[in-house]
Amino acid sequence: MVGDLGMTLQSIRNSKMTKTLSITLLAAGSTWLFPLYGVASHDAEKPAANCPPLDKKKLKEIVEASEGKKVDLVFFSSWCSDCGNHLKKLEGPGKVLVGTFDKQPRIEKLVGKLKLPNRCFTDSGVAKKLKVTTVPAERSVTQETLSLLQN
Amino acid sequence: MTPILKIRFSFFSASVLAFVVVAISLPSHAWACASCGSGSDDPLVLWPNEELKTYVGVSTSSRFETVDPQGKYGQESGPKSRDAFTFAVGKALRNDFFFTLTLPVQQNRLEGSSLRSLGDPMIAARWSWWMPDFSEPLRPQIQMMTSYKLAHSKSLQETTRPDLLDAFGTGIPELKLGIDTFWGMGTVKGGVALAGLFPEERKLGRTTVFPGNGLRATSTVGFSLGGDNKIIGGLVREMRENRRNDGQRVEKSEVLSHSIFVTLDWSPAQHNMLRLSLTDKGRVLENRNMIAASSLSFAWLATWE
Repeated sequence: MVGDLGMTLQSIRNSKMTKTLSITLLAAGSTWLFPLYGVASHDAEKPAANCPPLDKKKLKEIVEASEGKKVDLVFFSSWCSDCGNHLKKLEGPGKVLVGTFDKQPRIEKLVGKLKLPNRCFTDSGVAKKLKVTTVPAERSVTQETLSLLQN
Repeated sequence: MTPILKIRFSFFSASVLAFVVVAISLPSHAWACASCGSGSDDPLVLWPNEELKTYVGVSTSSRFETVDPQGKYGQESGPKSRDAFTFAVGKALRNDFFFTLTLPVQQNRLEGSSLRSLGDPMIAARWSWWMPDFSEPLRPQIQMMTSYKLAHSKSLQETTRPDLLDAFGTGIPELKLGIDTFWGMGTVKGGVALAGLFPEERKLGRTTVFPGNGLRATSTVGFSLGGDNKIIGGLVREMRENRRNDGQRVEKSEVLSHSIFVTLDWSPAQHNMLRLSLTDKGRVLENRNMIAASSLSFAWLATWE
């Protein structure tokens, strides 16, 4: 009985399946360290920007308060590698940043980290109304545009 | 290698070369590579901005060879070529969660004869637990993946024909659970995907067959060709425990399989992607108890608003 158990344990220990499983579990486990690295090295020290939700009502307020009753929106996402280059090329604080297809904390953290002077919002249905289906994307919004937006 | 195969591989080479030239010349938008860590494991992966996406692909497999428990290659078995038409549709329920349904139709050809059948349908889901970030290139994309393959098709074990012309799928339902890690924000990309394979036992004739649990590890390396165009290559290692017939372990039945693949993605227009993939299974490293094959696939992926 004890001999059988010993042989079974020995075969498990020697099996290639067990070795591969050990290596892959170790590799899988190590990937979980990257998020921890991210939390430890980035999340804590960078002041996040304030990027409140942008819905149609808020957009209307911004357009009405703007010079020339026109606002240029720049839609971006943190997971889009081209968006980084696009945001870096922005000239001045005139354009309004709208993080979309993304979560508000991630947008706020990213904008805070980039130290951009632009106003920032998190999309709350505006992108869809303006037919933004990919990022980065720019849209100029006027009062006329607003009146054409679907409710 | 027969002259036909030589022609086929010349066509392969020309296709790959043409694809690379065209892809390099076309700029597009650049995103991280959605789940490229799993390579060709799942045909369809959705971006956070995509709600509905389809995959229409055709593929052909040939050069079948059996590999015995000692790793010796035998005569070609089965059909001379196996063509497949695959349709997949993906629907996102949230920015970080989507599911896909894959329906393959296969056609086996053998010296003038051919048979067609629906392959094994598969339902899959992915949850993006950790998204990449362009301000942190070292931060990987991590997705949890699961899929369930229905055993609609006939099994290799079920068939009575020696040429296996009427074998279309594995014949065994299987659950897959895994994690897919990918670094795709830079010009050079790479990833690792690990998946546990949990088949169900199935009655085949008078025998209850359990193929054995398995493990699939995929490692990929890729290179951006400008915009969303890219080339991804990788190695897949799959292992399975010994098969069990009526609960009895079958000696020397454990499976070891290695595949290599190259995938070229070219985005000719927004929301459209053309994909060319070459896969060689069982030709590199050590292989046992499997069927080696070479395949080429071409697919069109489209995002719908």
